[in-house]
Amino acid sequence: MFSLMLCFLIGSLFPEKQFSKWNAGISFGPDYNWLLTGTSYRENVIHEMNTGIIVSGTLAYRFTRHLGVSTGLSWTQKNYTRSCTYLNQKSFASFTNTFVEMPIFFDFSFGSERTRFVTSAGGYFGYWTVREVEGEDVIYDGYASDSIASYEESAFNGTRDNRFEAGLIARLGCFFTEDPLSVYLGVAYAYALTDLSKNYQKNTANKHNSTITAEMGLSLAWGGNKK
Amino acid sequence: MKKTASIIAILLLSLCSCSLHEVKAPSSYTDGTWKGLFEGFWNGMNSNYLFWDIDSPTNEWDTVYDTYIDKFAALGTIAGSSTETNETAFSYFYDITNKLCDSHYSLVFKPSSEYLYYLSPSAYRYAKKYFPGFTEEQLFSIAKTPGFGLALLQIATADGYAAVAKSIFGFDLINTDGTKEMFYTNEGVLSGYDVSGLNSCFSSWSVLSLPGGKLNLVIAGITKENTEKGIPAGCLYYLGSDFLFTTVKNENDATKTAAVDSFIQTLKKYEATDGLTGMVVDLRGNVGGDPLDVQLLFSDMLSKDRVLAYHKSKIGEGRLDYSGLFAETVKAPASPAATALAEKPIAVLINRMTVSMGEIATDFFSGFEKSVTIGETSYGAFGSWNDDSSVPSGCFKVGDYLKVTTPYEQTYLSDGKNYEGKGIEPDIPVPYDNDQFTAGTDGRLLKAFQYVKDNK
Repeated sequence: MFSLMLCFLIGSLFPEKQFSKWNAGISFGPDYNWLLTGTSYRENVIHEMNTGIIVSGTLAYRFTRHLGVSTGLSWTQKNYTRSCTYLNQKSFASFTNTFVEMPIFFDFSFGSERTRFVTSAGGYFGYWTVREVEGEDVIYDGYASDSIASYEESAFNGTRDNRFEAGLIARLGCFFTEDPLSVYLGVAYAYALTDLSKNYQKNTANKHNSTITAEMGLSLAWGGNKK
Repeated sequence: MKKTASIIAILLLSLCSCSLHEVKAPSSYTDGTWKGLFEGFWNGMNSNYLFWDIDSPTNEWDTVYDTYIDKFAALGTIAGSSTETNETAFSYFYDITNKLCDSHYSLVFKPSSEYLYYLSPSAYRYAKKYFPGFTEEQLFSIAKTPGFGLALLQIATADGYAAVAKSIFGFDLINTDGTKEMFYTNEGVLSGYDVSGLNSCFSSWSVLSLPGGKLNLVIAGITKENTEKGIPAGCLYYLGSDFLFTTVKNENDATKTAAVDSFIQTLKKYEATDGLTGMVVDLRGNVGGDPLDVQLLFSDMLSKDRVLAYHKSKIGEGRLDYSGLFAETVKAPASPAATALAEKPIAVLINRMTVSMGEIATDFFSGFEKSVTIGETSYGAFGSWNDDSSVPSGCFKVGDYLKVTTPYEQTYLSDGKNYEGKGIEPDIPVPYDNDQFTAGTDGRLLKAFQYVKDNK
């Protein structure tokens, strides 16, 4: 990691001017989040992936033929579901969690200036802005009509919820460029190192977000003088 | 470039290498030591118990761990422990649990085949309230008595359903042969039972009793005037040992189902009878049951849907991982037949052993305009529990040594408030008079009929 950072640091201090280029844009797309949590002994409790959306504003600076850095601001949903079937009952909860995040990427790009592939790795930090839970209990009854109860809840619990999130992120993408505009297509994977819950008690199961995003976007480039 | 790519690859791999802390099954901690037993108990409570928002508002449960882990460790191994060691361990569990608010909570602790201890915080609360003469030492001494411990003090309910039926209506659950058989009767002669008392109090009546502890006794009837007992004419009276109609019907026993259905049909006919002056719902000693019973028995009184109660459950392993509040609704039928009764005076009788669904039903009747609760504060146990191992919270075991019974749902009454450990206070408190009751005069029941008479 240190070598990688050093490499980018040196590169950014001594940019190759003919390649140095700024790029700003917006992108959006679906995301797929699942909760990584240690509840394996409860065999009938199932956490499943759920879909959301991500909208990002990006700013990138390429300082050599292959190296660059990028950042941005993302509004992203990291949703998941939890269900459990027991007795004559099924309990279901759908979590819709919205975060505002700032990723910082170290980019490595290759290919032509018109069609350029980029692989990136870095970290992100974010703030959990909205928490919504929709729950439903269905009791299957042998003779009467099935009984359904539900709720919607959106409050945070200051003791329980850790609203700061930070983690690692990696992505693969491709820019299709017709100067000064580029179309971006890419996928990314983010793993939250922080837990969704604060460390308010002894011995609980961790809860980490794990998110794949697929984004497409449009960006405007400036700077550099080599095609 | 190769070096950079390698570093990126290492970075990507590191994303997948972070390990998660697992919550383990309580029994997995058992290693034959007292320390392992405590670890299993503490962790089972940590993830399964539902009332931490009340019982551990500032992390008291973590303090319990820090306080007791070394104490249990000092006791060594469980096998071959002396009576003194068993009692020391018991005293730790007693101190840890007897302030918990959950009134369904019980801990059965069996350190060896010779010893079985039963701990119940609600029994402790009950003893403190109704047996104020006992010192803490005396209570502990009763609690550590192998068997039912402090729960022994609440077994006999003075004016419970069976006592009311016998003392006031002259109807003994035990038939003249000294046995109790399954029976159901609708306005008829009940072979082997003396029903003259019922005939003297009701113009029409129906009795249901099943073997096996469920629906032990349910009586419904329309009163006729009995001045000696202070009973006015034309009042619907309902007495129930529990609310287990739904449970019995789900057992798919054709004989029992037929008996239950016949009783419900008759009750509904009574509810829809023209000219009723009011209703007395006698839930003294009612031990609870299934919320769906209210739908089955009393939904014809509703002209629109009504929230019966709310419940919340766990949606994670953390102590505060709660769901929101689920509303449990009683649905009004398309053509309700007993809305006239809903506008009449309704008196609900409760006592210290009106428990769980008995208390939720009390709250349901309180939603009618001219209703009143009479008697004494109810037990204060509102959760739903089931010890089936598939239920993801609530009851758990730690090996063969320890079993905890506790709800998987915490219940709030229709006002959205939590009465766990507190109970419902009656609108009109009426103290129990044992001499009067055993002589055949039930002051609480008299007050209920008087209320109906005065407000019709």
